[in-house]
Amino acid sequence: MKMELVNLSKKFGDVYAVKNVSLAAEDGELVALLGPSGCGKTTTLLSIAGVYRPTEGEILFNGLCVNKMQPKERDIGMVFQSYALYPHMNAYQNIVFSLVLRKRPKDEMERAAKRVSEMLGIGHLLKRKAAELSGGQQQRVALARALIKEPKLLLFDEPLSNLDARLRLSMREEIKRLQVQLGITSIYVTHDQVEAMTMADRVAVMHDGELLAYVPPEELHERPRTEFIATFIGSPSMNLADVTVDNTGGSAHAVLKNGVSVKIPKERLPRMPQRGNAVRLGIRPEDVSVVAERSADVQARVTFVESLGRENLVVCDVGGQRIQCLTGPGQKPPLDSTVGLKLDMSRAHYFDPESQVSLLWEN
Amino acid sequence: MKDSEARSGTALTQAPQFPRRLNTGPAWFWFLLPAGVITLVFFFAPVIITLVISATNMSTITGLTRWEWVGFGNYERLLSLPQTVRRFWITLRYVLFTLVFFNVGMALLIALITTHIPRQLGTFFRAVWLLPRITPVVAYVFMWQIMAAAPPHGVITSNILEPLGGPTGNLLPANAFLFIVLVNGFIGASFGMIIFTSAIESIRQDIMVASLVDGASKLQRIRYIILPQIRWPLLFVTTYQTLSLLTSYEQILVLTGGRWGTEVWALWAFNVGLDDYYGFFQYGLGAAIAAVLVIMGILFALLYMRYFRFNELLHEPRIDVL
Ligand SMILES: Nc1ncnc2c1ncn2[C@@H]1O[C@H](COP(=O)(O)OP(=O)(O)O)[C@@H](O)[C@H]1O
Ligand SMILES: [Mg+2]
Repeated sequence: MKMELVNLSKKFGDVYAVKNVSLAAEDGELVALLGPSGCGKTTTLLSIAGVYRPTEGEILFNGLCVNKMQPKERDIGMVFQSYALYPHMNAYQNIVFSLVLRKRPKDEMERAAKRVSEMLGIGHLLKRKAAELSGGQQQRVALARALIKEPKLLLFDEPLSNLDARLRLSMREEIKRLQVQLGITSIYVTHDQVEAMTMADRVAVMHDGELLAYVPPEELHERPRTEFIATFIGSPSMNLADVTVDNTGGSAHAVLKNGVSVKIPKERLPRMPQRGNAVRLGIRPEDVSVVAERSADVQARVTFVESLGRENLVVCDVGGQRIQCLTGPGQKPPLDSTVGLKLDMSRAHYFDPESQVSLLWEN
Repeated sequence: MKDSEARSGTALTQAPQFPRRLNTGPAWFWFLLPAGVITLVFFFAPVIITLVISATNMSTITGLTRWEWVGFGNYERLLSLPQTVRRFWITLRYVLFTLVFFNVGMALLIALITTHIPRQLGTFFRAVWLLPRITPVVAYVFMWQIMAAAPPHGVITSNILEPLGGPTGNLLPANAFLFIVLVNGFIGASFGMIIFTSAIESIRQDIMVASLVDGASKLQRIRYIILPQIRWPLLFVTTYQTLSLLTSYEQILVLTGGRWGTEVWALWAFNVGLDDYYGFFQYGLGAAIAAVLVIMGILFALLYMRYFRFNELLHEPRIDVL
């Protein structure tokens, strides 16, 4: 089913929790709603579910406006961060609850419950109450409860946030596998960018109730449209430095505050902002490398080194400008030493310091 | 399952080493002493004294010095008295009707309605229902007496019944039972109302939302989610209010004095033991009547526990392996 939001807004009192959001999820697509806590993801999801009435705008299911429909008429399944299993019912009763409400015959319920619980590997847990299940088991029951209705739309509200790291990884795979296999259009809310990037066909980035970008994951990382997205996506986050672009004489250079200048490749030359030639340069830590001083772009002093396991995070100071870089396992320069940094300027980004819009990618 | 066996095995061998120490010594005794003394003096002692007195012929004639033991004599007398069975049924009907229609029924209804309408409106309605409870009993009952009185003072008679050509006498004698239920019910409903409201409002929001998404209508949500979720408060209010109703008689005393078939068991005990018109107080018989109340109370409490399936509220420990 195709799900569309058209200029959706939701106000609580005088405050917009969701503001003018428009996006469309195609049939079978998994769309991630990504954003920091409090940015309106849950509100958007509950509006789609029919729990909240939109203040403005429309929600379309297959082109049909469902604004006035009760949740029960919408044919949706939902999975919550807190699992939200009914505590007074056992797993089986939780799973078949929607069928009980629709007064389906008992044998149909049993068959359907068997089907979904086998799919999720929880057949042996059906007699347990929620409090007798571990977090991972509860989430599987919750998933079974959402799937038994054969919904047209699946809504996930940070379903993995309460699980431990290892379980989160395997559940992530499993949810994605089920979603692809069943082909159910899904809206997946998360504040975890890795989750969004690995699972989603398209990622909707939200901030303060507004939709900032709605693009495939690769594009979000490679072609960020705003400074917020650029720094929000990727960990550790992108280095930012105020520079001026010197385009005199055959080649262009980015000149840092302290006078150090770095050559900008022709094919990566940014548009100039409306006034002046001051821009904000962004470069990801993985695109900065520690090299021998003769081939370096800039000299830097090491202020902090942290081992991240597979790689090291080296924090440097370039004449008052803080630059983070990721180095290979063997490369761990001592504190306070002077090192050379090479910036891969073919992967640099530029933003208008005033509007914070990208000067490379069209909006 | 092997896993859990292994774990309980370890637990068994380790248990004597560590937690045992906490149980040694008489420390627990001193910790329990204050609460124990209070419980004994204020809860058990009255019951025991009542039982002891019920086994004597103590009255204003014998005084506190010349009484004699009569064993089960007072209880035998109770069984032979013609009023006993009648009062028993009056009491049971009074408790049942007030409980079902007001102290639990109305309380639940108000709580459900006021939690499903805009918040401020709900708070207002609940505040209105608190008025009878905060009005002094005498003033409150007096209000009901005016309500029931004959014209020209009676509110119902002179404003509704008289213009319609209905009966015009005092409504109380003919409808005394109805009035004692109403008088107690309007006070009693607010207690359950407050407890049910807070219980409903503290149900987790996520399961309320989940039930809507699962396709429940508001009524289905009440039946399948809200009521099961407030089973404990329901049990508590039902038990507590049964016991209060069994033992309360002040409003009835003020309203009818027990006339017109409204002498409930507790009022009877009061009348026999402490309030005879001629000053003949039969402490022994009164205590026996009161003792029956205690036993009825315990029976009701046990019945509720069974009915609400107390055991099912406890669950098995979870095993954290998928
Ligand atoms: N029922 C509500 N009443 C009032 N304000 C709310 C309600 N739900 C959410 N909000 C507010 O709306 C904003 C967005 O909340 P939410 O959608 O829960 O964010 P997220 O799920 O992205 O963390 C927050 O500022 C929150 O305080
Ligand atoms: Mg949320």
